[in-house]
Amino acid sequence: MDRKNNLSQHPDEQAPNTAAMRWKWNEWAGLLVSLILCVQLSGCASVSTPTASELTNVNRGEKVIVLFRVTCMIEGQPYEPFSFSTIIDNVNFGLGSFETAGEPRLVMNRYLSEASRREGWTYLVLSPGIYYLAVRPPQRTDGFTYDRMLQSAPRWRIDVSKQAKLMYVGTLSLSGTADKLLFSGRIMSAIYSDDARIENESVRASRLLSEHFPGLGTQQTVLMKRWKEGDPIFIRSPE
Amino acid sequence: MSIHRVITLILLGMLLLSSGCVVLPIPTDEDKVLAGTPVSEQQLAFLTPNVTTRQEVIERLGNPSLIWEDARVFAYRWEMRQGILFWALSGYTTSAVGIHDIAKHYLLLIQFDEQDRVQRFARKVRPGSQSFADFLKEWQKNSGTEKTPASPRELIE
Repeated sequence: MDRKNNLSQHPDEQAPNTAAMRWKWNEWAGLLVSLILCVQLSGCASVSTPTASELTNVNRGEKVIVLFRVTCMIEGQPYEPFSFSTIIDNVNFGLGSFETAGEPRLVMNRYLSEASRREGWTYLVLSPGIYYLAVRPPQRTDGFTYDRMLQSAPRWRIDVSKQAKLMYVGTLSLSGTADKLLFSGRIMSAIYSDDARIENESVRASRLLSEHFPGLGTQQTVLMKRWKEGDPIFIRSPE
Repeated sequence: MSIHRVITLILLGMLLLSSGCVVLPIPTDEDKVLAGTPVSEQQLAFLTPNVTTRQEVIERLGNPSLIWEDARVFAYRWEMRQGILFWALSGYTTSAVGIHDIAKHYLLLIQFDEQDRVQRFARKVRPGSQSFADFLKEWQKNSGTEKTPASPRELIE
C-alpha cells in the first residue's frame, strides 16, 4: 500500500524536479553560448569605421586617414586577405612609429565596409609622420614565435603628409603559401617577402574614399616604400 | 615505521605532487653579439665635435640603425649577450626547460649641428626597462647638460 502510494505520488514529485533540471540545463546552455560568443567576438574582425573624435581630428589636420589595399595570390589563385571572422586568421600588420623607434607593434585591422573588407581594403588613422608597416600572414604558430615574426616581417615606409586629410599609400601585392583547413578552404601560412610589391590603384581608392568621406576632399597618393634589413629607420618627432 | 621514514615519504610524495618553476639568470662574458654591429672605442677616435662631418661618420661607421631627422641624431645599436636565463617548469605530469640569452643594449648616439658637423656623441647602455624611444628622448632632452667626452675612453657609462 505504501509502495502504491509512493508510486502514485511519484509523478507529482517528479514534475518540479524535471522543471528544475530543464531550468539548470537552460542556464548551462546559456552560459555556454555566452562563453562561445565572448571568445568569438573578442577576436572578431568586424567593420570599424573612424570614430567621431577621429574624424574631428582629421578635420583639424591632426590626423590622416591612410588607406591601402592587400591582394594575395596563392599558387596562382586569388586569396582573400581578410576573409575570416577572427583577427588572427587574417593577414595582419605591425606599425612602427616615433614612439616605438620604428619597431613594429601589432595594430588592429579596420575596414570601411564589409564589401571593401572582402576586396582587401583596410585603413589606419595616423598623425603626420614616418611609419613602418610590417605585414604578417595569419597566425599558424604559437604566440611567441608569431610575435617574433613581426620583427622579421617585410616592412614598408609610409610618409604621412601634414597637408593631407585622406591618403592612399598603395596596394600591397603579396604571394605566399597556404595550409588546407580541416573542413574546407585554406589559410595563408607564409608570405614570399621578396615577391611582395606595391601597385597603384589610386582611382579605385579615390572612389572608395569619396564614397565614405565626401566632405574631406580629395586624397593624396604617396606610395609606401620598401624597407629592407640594414637600411636606416627614419623617425620624426610628432608635431 | 620510524618518524624519519614517515617524513622522508611525505617529502618525496610532496616532491612528486608539487608543481612550480625555476628561473636562474647566469652571468656570462660579453663575448657574443646578438644583434647589430658593435662599435669599439677605437673606432670612435676620429670623432671630434665641430669638426667631423656627417658624411665622414657614414664613411667610417656605415649607415646608422636609426636616423632621428628633426633632432639630427644618428643611432647605432647593437646587443651583446651578458648572461643566459635558464628556466624550468614542472607540473604534475609534464615539464619543460629552456635557455634564453640576456641582452645588453648598446647605443652610440651622435648629434649633428645645422652644418652637419658632430655636435656631441655618447656611447650608452640602455636599461632593459626603458624603451628605445624614451631613451632617445631623454638623451635629447639632456643635450644642454651632458658633457661630450674629450676622448673615447670617457665614453662608456
